Amino acid sequence: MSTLTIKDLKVSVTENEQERLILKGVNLTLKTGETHAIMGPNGTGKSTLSETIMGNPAYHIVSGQILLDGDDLVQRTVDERARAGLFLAMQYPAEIKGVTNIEFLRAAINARRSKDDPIAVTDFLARLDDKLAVLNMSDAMAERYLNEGFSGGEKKRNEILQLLMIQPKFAILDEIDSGLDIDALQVVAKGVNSMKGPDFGTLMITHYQRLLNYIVPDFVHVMMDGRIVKTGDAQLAHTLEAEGYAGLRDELGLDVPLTDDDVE
Amino acid sequence: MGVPNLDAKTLLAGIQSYAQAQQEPAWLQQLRQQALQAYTTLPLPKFEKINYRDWPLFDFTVPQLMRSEPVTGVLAKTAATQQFYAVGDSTIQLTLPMDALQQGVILSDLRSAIAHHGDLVQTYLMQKALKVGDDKLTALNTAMMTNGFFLYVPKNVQLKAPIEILQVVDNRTTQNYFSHNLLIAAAGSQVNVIQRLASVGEQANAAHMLVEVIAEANSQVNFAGIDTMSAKTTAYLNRRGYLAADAKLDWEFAEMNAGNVIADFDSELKGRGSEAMVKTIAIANQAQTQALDTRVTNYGKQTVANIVQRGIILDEATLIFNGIGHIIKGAHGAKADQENRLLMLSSKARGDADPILLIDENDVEAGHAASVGRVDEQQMYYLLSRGIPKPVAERLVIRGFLAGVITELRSQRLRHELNDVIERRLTDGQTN
Ligand SMILES: Nc1ncnc2c1ncn2[C@@H]1O[C@H](COP(=O)(O)OP(=O)(O)OP(=O)(O)O)[C@@H](O)[C@H]1O
Ligand SMILES: [Mg+2]
Repeated sequence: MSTLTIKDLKVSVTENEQERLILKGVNLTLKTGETHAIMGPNGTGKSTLSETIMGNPAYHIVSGQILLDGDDLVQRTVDERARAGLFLAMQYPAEIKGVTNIEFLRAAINARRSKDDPIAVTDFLARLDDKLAVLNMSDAMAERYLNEGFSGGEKKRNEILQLLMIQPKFAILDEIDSGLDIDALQVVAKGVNSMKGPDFGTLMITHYQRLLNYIVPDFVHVMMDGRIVKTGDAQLAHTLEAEGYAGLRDELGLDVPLTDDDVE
Repeated sequence: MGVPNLDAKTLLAGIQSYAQAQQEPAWLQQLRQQALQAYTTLPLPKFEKINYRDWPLFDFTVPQLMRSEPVTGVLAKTAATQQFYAVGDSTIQLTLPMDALQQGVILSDLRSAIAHHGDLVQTYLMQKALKVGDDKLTALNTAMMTNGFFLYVPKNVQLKAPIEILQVVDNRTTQNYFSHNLLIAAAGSQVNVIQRLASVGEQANAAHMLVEVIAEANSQVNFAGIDTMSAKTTAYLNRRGYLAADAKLDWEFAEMNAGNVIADFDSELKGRGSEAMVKTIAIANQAQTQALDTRVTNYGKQTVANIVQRGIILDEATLIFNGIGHIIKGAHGAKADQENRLLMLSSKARGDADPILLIDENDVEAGHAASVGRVDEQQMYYLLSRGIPKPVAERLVIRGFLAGVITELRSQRLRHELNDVIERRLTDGQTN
């Protein structure tokens, strides 16, 4: 079993040449075998948290720790973190022309193997076929340039294909459901669920309870203004869906502006 | 330019005594003298954005024939499959398929072509593609040349299998390298040529290499130049095409040298309806400079010029693409298009991709695109986030960038070879 622990994490970004604090002390513990969800208003810092865990250089850690089985990842490079077992399905995956999906996946898998023992082409293709089938993706998709010209939904599916091929310990899925039609949502959920097991943990970021019908979380966290303000079980998502964030904010006595304040 | 080692008088005497020792015909001795004259009077040709005056391109001695031993190792393996294989001035291997021989194809070194096919050489050498008086460096080569390949494809002969040529600059000792090569594709003929230019040895030498391609009416010449000379070789390369009516010349260049290089790859679309296509990939790394002037000039009506170049710059290297499209008055209906793109992987890299269009006629089509970019940080982050180490991620991005040209290459074998060359070039750079 592995544990990913976020300890009092404070993170800033540079805006107009000034540092702005986005995460104001996040605490979170994920264990393999568990499924967590984070919900929260736009601009609260959910993507900031996931990008910071992965090591995106745009996010600056002010203080705090990111521990994988007690080992602090903060000083590790992005690729080291990935090889240590982290995976981030990004909200906005990059497009890379000229690099095929297949080449990219092979490089990612071989990066986890010793230099003189690259994965055999037949093994690789067998695994790829298998995962493409789970996700109802065509071979042609795997031969295309990485995300280039992919539709929003295709990009999301491709993120999950990578997840299934790489088999990390922890996956953070940042709005994997946004832009998906209903069928695609089920396919993506099927893919994620196929990973479920004692050696795999998930942190899903979503705005919609609907995703959680398909990938049922053990824990739901609510993030507001750079902090996790409440943690509950799957039922919490239903409550939020019904009541919005304003009720929770007022209940907790937080001073956070929300989108629907204007409408009220 | 650096201090020339030789004064004009010594040089002239040296060239004359070389030509006499070789029993060269009078016309050639005269050509050499004219060329020497042009060399001493003309200024250095200009390569935009580059100053090569102080490069050791002029560290040469009077011409003399050197004997070079064959090479060993990886190059020897390539050499074994070549139709023409030479090290320094020594021609080591010459073979032609039987059917090519029977159809009158001539493949030899320049020296024996002068001896045995003097008329052909005299008709074409520095007469059509290049000319004495074009510039200082081609003139120098003509005065000093000691060997090269000679390929003649007779009228209407169509060779399917490529003619493969490996020429190795011999840096095992300090010596001159003045190579002058001639390819004549007679009317209606077809030929594929792959010229590989490499080097062996650890001494520093200058390499001067010219190729003249004469594509007569209705001929089709596909010419790939794969240059992989070491950091010890400072080079001046010139490949020049002359196209008669409806001729097609397809150039494919890979500039994978490790040393300083200036290169002039020009095509003259003289005949109506002739077409030249130039595809180039180049990598510059460490402290190296490579500057490529690629020009296509439309003289004839309905001529078509196309240039596509992609280059990668690493470390503190410099890579310059000057693409020159020139449409001459009278070239009605001509087309000239070019695209030059550079990708920089280091903040100390220097690159320029300059399209220069000179258009002297109205009813023509001309277009250009150029870019000098850096690897996008988001792209790099994305690759790293999947556990791919930075050097591997960079190689993926580079390969992807060059793929725009590589996938357009005619031969699959060449595509594979170039991918290997690129991979080697990049891994060499990392270990050094
Ligand atoms: N790279 C960046 N540079 C500047 N500001 C940033 C950057 N990334 C995030 N921010 C800012 O930080 C705040 C939090 O953004 P973040 O993307 O983490 O929100 P989020 O909770 O994921 O929102 P959403 O639900 O809309 O995806 C926002 O105000 C955003 O503008
Ligand atoms: Mg977000």
